[in-house]
Amino acid sequence: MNDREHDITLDALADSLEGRLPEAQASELRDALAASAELRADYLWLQGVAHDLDAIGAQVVKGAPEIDVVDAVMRAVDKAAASEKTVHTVHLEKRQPARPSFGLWGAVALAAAAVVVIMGLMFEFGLFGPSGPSAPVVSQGPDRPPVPGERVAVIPPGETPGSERLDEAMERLAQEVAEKLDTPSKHADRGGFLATAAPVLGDVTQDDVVALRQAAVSDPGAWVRLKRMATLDAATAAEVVSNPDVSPDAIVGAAASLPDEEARQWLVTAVGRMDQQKPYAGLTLASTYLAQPAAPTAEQPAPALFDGMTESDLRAFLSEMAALQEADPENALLDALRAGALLRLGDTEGALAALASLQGKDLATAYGLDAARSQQLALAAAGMSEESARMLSAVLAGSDQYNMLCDLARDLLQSGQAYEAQGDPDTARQIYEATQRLGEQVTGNARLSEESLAGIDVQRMAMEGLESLYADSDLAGEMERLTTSALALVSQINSLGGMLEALDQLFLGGGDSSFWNQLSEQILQFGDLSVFESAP
Amino acid sequence: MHANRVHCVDEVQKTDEELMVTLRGGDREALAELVRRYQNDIFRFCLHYLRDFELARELAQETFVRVYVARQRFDETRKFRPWVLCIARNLSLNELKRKKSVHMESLEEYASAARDEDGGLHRSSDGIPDQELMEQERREALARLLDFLDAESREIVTLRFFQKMSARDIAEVVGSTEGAVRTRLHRILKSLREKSLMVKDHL
Repeated sequence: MNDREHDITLDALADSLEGRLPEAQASELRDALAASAELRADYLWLQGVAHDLDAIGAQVVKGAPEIDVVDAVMRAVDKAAASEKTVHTVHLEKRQPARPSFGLWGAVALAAAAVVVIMGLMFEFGLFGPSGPSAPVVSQGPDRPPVPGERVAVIPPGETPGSERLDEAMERLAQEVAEKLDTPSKHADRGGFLATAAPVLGDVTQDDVVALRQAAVSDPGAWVRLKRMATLDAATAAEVVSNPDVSPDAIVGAAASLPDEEARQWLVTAVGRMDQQKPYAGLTLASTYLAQPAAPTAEQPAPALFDGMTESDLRAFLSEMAALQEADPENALLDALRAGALLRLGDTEGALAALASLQGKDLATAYGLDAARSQQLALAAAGMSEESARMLSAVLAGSDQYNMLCDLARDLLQSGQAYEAQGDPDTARQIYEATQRLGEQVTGNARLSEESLAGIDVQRMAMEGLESLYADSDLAGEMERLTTSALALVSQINSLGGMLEALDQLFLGGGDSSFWNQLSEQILQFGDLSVFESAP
Repeated sequence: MHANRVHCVDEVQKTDEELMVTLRGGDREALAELVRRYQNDIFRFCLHYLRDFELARELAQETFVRVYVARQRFDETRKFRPWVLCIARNLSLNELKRKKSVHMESLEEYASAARDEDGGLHRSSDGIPDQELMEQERREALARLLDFLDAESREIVTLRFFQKMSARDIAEVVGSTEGAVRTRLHRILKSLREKSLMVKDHL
């Protein structure tokens, strides 16, 4: 209002009318009113307007009865509590195959033979990431060659995927998971293993690692022991990072076991010493701002990635993300991480922009192989034998990334649920759809079975959110698309389930040191999804 | 089950935000207290958007169910009222979007209603409109101007003048900043002022 006799705004006048203006400003206003006829005219006009608006507003609610919805609300809430839907991880897991009774190479040959079939399916359904199609395909009945014993979802001829009702497709999806992949999860223990005694690293042999991996086929507790074996205690990690001869990659691998502040310092040093920029190191650095997952509760059975973070940590995390995105602009995971942090900060607009950016990309990776190699180097630098460190890192490759991806998806979807609950289904829908896309991108880019598993889990979680949202909104076209995706995911679960079983058989078959060296090297170079491409 | 729900003394004494923390901890009686505190406020708030008693009552009820569902996401360092109004607002806007055909009376109709209830025009004995009539006509003119505002501006005016909300609370409800709301409100009022002057000149 610079062209006027005063700089008092009309909204300040309105505040003044209601006695909201602080005394200093009220005094300034009184002086201005005394000095300006124009302001006095504005003031009188606004006084009249406020009075008129009062009258109009009162008319809108005139005759409105007093309501009492306490009991109705509480009944609805009792129902909601009884059937409360919590976003949960599916915990896809391996079936427990019977230990084969045939000999070493027979087992390998059998596994490899099974994999010939599986590989074909995986390529077809895009489970092999970089070279495979990013979008899954649903096969049509007779056009596809029959595979003995295979339980891939096959759509009857002449029936379009969308013609199957969404709820039936989702039920089928849940059934497939329960029948083929639902066993106690190796991901269930999230740090509890740290309470157990750490092994003496120098005493861990390759055979110890293989034996535990074999036991893990039927005993999830063996995964916990493997994880404990691979986790450095803080003192050992400190020794590793302060060793001037240790490589920057080993420092990155050891930093996860250090207190956050110390880890950051060493990670910055390590990044500075690297010959080339490694986004994995940047993600590790950003991850130091994440809080430790809280113990599960009835209200929050599984952690969400940004739980427990302060605002300043979220901002620091975002700052690291910005730097990381410059180094790896095509990785959609970074958009998803940024969106999750922005949602936590209440920046819906920024988060949706990040999710829109995610939608435009083809791949997402949590750098599982880089992480496994860094862990191998850190374990070796901490005193474990080269072959044990390699084997241990290989069998655990991708498990931390699985947890991070599922925690992130859970975080995003919980934000979506909050928007949905607040009556903003549009925002919720954008979040759910982007999360589903993230799952597809992760699966499409996976080189490790754990990454593939995470991608499937993320998709499944997002689909659960979308299912109810679409049904509520009666979006027929979207429901059809989701039905197709659900059926495609059933096929992916079948393929991955077969692949995991073949991997189990490979380990159960046993082998000599040379065999395990070759296998672990192969996994750390190309991922476990590739091992049957050149099975020994 | 809840027919004889009694007011818990402890909860009556708690602030809204403390009740949300209690609710998050699993005590649903905290929600009952919040409903008692805000149900009519929310009902009237929804009524400003929907102008339909029954719909507004339904959405007021739904708002509290959503409060329950979203309880884990409530940040107790912020105020409860703008948060719950934000939920009610979103539900109301969705309802309007969903039922595009729903008839919403214009504000001008409300401004006219007062006159109709009084049995027609008030005129002085010499046939000249009296003070009350002039007020009614001014009110109708203002309501017409408000009806011509875009939806967002009308919402700001509604929240500011009908709901008596501060700029800061409006910002929380509509997902904006206090500064942006103040600027917007100033522009709206300035525009209304100019238009009312033009109408006056025209008359």
